[in-house]
Amino acid sequence: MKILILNGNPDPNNTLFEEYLADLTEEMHALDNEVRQIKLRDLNIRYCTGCWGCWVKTPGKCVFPDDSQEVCREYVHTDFVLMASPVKMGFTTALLKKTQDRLIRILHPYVDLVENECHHHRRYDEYPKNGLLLERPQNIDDEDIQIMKDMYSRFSLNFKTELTFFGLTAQDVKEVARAIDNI
Amino acid sequence: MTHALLLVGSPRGKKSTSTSVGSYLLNILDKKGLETDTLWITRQLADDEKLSQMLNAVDHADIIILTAPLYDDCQPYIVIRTMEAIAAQRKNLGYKRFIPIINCAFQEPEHITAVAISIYHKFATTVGFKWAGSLAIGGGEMLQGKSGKTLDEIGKMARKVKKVLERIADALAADNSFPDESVRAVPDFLYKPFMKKVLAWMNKYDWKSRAKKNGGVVDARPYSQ
Repeated sequence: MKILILNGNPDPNNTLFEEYLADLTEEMHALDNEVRQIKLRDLNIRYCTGCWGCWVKTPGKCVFPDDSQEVCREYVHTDFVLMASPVKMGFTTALLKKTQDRLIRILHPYVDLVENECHHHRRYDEYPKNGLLLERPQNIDDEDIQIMKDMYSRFSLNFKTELTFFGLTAQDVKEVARAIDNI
Repeated sequence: MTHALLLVGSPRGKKSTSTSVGSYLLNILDKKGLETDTLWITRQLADDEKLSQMLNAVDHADIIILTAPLYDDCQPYIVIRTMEAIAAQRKNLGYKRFIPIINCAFQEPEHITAVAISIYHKFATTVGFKWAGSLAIGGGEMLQGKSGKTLDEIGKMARKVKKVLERIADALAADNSFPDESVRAVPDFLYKPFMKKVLAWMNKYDWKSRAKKNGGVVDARPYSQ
């Protein structure tokens, strides 16, 4: 399985998180997966201005050619995307959200009705399954975790897929690697 | 004097539905005798000095009204970034009233109420703001904020939204909270399943012709190879 890890940790000094993802990558390699980790903090990514240029001026591409192109290309050629982030203020980081916002170009502006609710139409035939891995600080409760699960389930629904994995970095790394491998 | 601060969280900046909705509410509060200020988050995130200026403005406000669009059923990046900055600073925030007013392009306010409002609520609780109510506006594109129009300029189409904003202004001016509410900017008859299908078809035609005008193929798949 081809796996893409979007590392949304903005702080290089958070070594525990970085080491966990390095170990996870190694474990998933050992299970015969092709894994690529993108450290979002190392990329030059602007925020989405909602100009809709990616729908009407350069369809499928953003009018601002930055490193988000690489993320989008990888995204549509992957079987599984693991969005990995420390939790800040009860939510995944702004860095990860900035990248997610820029994925809008891989959807159409057209509208589909899903259970009488409007959603964007797919631009590509297939989209990867999604997973969410969080570093949970002590002051986060189960309600916060549920909000994030709900959020990423909505994100997955919008991106024509489903949230198939949820994990915390407090879990054993081998266990997480096996769970993802079984998807 | 009670001081209301409007934070406009649209990445589009001044020409946005978030601006037109927020300005309408703030004008009423101004007429009711409140001191009012507006900051556009896009500008305030430009450098550390402006960010600090925004955080100081939050410190000095009694009421914080945040207007923002919905990106993927969630806050856009610039709003999350602002929430992180406010939470990191976290001083003098107790007892300030916080009101998120969120709009989405799709007709259904349920896109907003599904999770985004819970995230705002959690944020308010975390930093010590007092939750004073929220408003979810479905069909925000119909309000034509992108073209820089005010709610008064677009006539009947803004009627329902204006009514709710006037009610919210009354509550805030009287030092009250209001319930979490939602409103559809689109006329009710367009909300029926059959009409939604018609609109979806018209929407597809419209996007195709807009892309064609720019010489683009709306169905392009640039990352296929």
